Amino acid sequence: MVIYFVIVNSIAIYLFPGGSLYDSSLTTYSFSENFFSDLGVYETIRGEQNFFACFLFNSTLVMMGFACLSFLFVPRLFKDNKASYICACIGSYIAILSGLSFLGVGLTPADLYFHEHVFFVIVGFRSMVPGLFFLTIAFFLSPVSNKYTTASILFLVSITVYSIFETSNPPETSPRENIELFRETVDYNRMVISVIAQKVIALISFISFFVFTYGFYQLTLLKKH
Amino acid sequence: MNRFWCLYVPRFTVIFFLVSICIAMLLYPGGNHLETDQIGYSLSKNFISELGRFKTMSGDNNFFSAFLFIIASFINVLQGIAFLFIAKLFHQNKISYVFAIIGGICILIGNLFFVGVCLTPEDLFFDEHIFVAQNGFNFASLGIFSLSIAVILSRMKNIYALISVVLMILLVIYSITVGHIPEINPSDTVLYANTYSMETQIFKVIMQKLIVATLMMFVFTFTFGLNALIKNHD
Repeated sequence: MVIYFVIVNSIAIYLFPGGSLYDSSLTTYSFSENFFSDLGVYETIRGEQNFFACFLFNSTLVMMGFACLSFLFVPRLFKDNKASYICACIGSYIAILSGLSFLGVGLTPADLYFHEHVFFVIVGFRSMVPGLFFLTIAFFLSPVSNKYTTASILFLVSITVYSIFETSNPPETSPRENIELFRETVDYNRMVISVIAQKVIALISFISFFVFTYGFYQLTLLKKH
Repeated sequence: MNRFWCLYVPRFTVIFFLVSICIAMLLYPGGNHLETDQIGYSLSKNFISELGRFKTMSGDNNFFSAFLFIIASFINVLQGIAFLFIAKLFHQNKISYVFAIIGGICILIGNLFFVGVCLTPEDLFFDEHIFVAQNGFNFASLGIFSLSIAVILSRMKNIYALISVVLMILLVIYSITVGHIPEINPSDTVLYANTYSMETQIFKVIMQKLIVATLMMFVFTFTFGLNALIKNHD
């Protein structure tokens, strides 16, 4: 799913017509000015149709949301230790909630359903914090190598910092409704930081989930033996 | 493996397609090629591909319907791949096998063209939309035709051969009755209204629905016939 997400979104980035909140004249996707969500908008800031990128980006989020249902099978890997199993159960169910929130993000393009979009983004990221917290404990108490606990702690710290700084003060109105107000209240550099932070946290998430799959695989092997 | 690709995948894709299309219809904001003020989707006045429009004829955003329509068409590619596996079940008769392979390839190409239909909404890429829709239909027809011959020559029960022949006849009737009607870009509302009466529109729409429903029913019932072939194959 991670590989699918990267490939499909690379195509979406290529097909995005361009335009950001600070520079509507851009003709391509800008890594420092365009949020990921910009790929999923129905029409760009210039009013151009964004049919292809919109479908590609939103479909990846929907697919990721459904893929998170695979966390239903995670707790059984931690059954050897009761406390670890309970933590894995709690962590997995919260991870599913988080995944379903990202599915919601995919079904609510920011230009059509701004408030719903922001709501799902916030729930998605914030719910990852307790979810990862419990999964970290589950890894810690399990017989699997400590490197997975370390990776989990690093991911938890990153997502907590991101949630505190990037989801604690959500905009009350859509920037598109009043672009001048947005530019007055949000400094250009602050927007660039948000955009880049989003890219970094996405990258950290992908790497972490990739590492976790190896941890889960090791647990499967340990169970067999 | 055989059961998965030859039975479960075709059945799943048919059910998934129908459910997705039904939900897309419920979420469709409204408007048809001749009546822009229509509210909601009309089974007799709206074409299936209108579900994939970027903006409906009423000018509303059509995000959810288009999204579901595109997802459904992509899932349908699995059905095309399944027909390549299905072809293997006809290996007992060489001629039947060759026709089954040709049929499978044509159906897969047809389904890929139908993905193209969804990726070229009629309000954004009308000429491309018509091109892929017509080619999709032509390849699907050719595929059904080849597969029907394969079924006739195979050990499948005669009822499935009969269904295949009936479907072939329906495809021919559809081509004769609808094929000659010229395609006009609905964005040119005046020309469209001058060319088509509501009766012609309803006729075309209902014929399209009937042919799609028949194709889906064919695929679904066909899998029951394949069950016997799989047992022989195993």
